[in-house]
Amino acid sequence: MAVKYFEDPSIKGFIAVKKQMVMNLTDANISYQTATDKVTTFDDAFVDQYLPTTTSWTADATGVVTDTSTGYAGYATGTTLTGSTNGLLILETIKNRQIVTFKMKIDASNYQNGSAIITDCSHKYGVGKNATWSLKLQGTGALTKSTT
Amino acid sequence: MNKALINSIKSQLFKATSGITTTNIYFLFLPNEELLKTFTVTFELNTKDITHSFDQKELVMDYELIININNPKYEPILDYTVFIKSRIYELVGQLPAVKTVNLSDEALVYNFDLEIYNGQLRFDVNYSNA
Repeated sequence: MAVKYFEDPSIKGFIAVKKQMVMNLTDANISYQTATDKVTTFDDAFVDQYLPTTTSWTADATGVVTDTSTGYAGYATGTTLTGSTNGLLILETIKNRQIVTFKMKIDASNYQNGSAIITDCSHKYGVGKNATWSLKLQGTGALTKSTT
Repeated sequence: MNKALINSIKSQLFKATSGITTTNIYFLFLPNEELLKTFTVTFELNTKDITHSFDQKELVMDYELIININNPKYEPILDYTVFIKSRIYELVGQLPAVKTVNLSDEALVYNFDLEIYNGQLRFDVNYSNA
């Protein structure tokens, strides 16, 4: 089994929001959860039993604040995505309280697609330091896999 | 290893010390010990941190700039430190990639072995390729 690095040229990982690649990310994370209900009965001899219930997913990312909005050719090639977005533009997007489209490439021919709500967009500025920002997304509805 | 930045720093140091008859500015080291009897400036540029993003390598470079000023008397060091600081802060306007320049430390000490005063200025330079 091949070890995957997000920066592996064959992966070219990215997150896209509103069909626009989010540029200059330094970390990205996607998390899928299944909730459970405890259904232990007297008959289970003091061993807990659970049943799966609802599933949900979240994603988050951090990056360096730039005003880049044009994207890079190498990463635009081979994808169906057009345009790009960045920390400054996402800050404006969250104000609209809209459900946005989400797409994340996690491997060659493995794209995770869904709808999401931007729940947090935080910008951090310090004297003499990089301006950094973070993004949190709450997935709504199914997360589905596609090959492109 | 950033040629553009090193050249800019050297150029700014020359401007800052233009009031001195013979300006000796060197990168990394002094070529000979005789120069210690005059007003000399050496500087070095060290990489402290490099930030890469998924789509761009070397997105942000954090450098430490160390400037050493040597002279048998301390008064010129104090006088020219003001000009050197001012010119180094000006790097922000000189190169678009230089986003911030901040002084992180300064010191003036006497070197008993070499019998000269040594002033040292340390700057944090944030250089962004974005």
